[in-house]
Amino acid sequence: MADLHVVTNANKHLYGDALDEYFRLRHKIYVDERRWMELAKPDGREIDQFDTSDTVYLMAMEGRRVVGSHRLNPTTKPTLMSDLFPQLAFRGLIRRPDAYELSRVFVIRERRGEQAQPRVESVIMAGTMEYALAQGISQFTIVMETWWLPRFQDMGWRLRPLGLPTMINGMSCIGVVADVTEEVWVETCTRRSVRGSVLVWNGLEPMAPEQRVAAG
Amino acid sequence: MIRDEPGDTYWGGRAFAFVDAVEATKSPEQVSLLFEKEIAQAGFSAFVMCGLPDAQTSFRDRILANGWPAEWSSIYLREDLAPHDPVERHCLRSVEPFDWSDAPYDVEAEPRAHMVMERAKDFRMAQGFCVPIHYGEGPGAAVSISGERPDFGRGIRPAMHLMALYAHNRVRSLLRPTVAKRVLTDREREVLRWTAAGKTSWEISVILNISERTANAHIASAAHKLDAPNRIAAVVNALRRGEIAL
Repeated sequence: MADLHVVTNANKHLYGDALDEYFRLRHKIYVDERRWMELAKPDGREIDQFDTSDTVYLMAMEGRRVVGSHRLNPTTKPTLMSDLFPQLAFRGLIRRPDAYELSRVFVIRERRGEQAQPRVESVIMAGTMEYALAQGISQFTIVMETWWLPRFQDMGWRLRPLGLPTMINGMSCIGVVADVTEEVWVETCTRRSVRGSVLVWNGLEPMAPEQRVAAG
Repeated sequence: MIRDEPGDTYWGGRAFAFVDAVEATKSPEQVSLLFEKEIAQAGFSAFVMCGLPDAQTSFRDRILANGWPAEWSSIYLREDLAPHDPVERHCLRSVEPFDWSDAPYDVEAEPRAHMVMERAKDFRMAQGFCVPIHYGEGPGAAVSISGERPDFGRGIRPAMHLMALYAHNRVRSLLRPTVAKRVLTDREREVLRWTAAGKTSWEISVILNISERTANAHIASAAHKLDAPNRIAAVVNALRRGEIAL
């Protein structure tokens, strides 16, 4: 089973090779596979303005191999929703210190489809909830293709629309907010055969929610 | 292309109100009633929510909610029209919602497909809009709505799309079997809750005024029932199965 590694500015030095592989995978998946040509980079590493020192990467790894990932950005700074797709949030942008935007969720081709349980996708989704609970994050905002909405719901996530489905480059897209609760985490684990904790905090101190509140 | 700018439209507001209302429903029938009422506002008089075909399940068993005219429903089932229905077939190929008129079939080579679409018109199901749903696991589902001359004006499709997704998800949640029957005794749950809070067997024995040996026996019994090799795994499994909450 894959583990989900928490990679931040504080421990990225431990993940030099893995991060390099990660940005190449993003190029392979978003540019080569999904043809989002505006993301193409001459060096084959897909890095954009939302890869900053504030970004947290949750990387699903089998040993040293990256097999999938999620990216988290604070909503108090620029996000995809605020800067690129504000039309998806006409009910109002969410900007709160305890709300993060999820983006660039992917699983490598060889780990998609029917696989032994739990699937990489499930590990990422359960681990993302686990991370949020540990860090005192209460909401995730997400810009997604609308057809993904039922896939999130199927994993027990509770999504509320921030706008109506809107056509962008021929695909229906939507902005949503997902509530973080222990119930959702347990639900995702239960439905997708994830056995509890999947996070690896290499070189990091996982901060309990009450400590975070105390820290201000 | 005219971009839908739903922020200032009537339909955006209706769709968001619907999403909130549908979350409060207590039965699939309530969801159907709400949905029926909403789509009627745009001239859609019929709907169906169903699972997409797989090898084993008949159309009858795939229906989650049936808002079709009764007579059409019985013809469709009796004559087994599902395998010929171009709308259903197109759902398997598309992740995007589509108008019925965009579900392709060959009029010459597929007379049965043509017949399905033509006969539906007798039941005021002349034009429709269909939302395919794909989960990544299992065969997926679809919500299809139709009417004599429904309104396809600005803002309607996105609103119908959103309402269909939430109506379907709610029906599905309400039909989902409840969490596996509980297997632990109250005492076992109580002991596991204290274990989850980091208490040792000795501490638990003091709190509950039982012997340490009994506390251990409760934990061992709970672990056995939960198929867990140790007390930590027992706590995790108990949480997952909804036996205890933190």
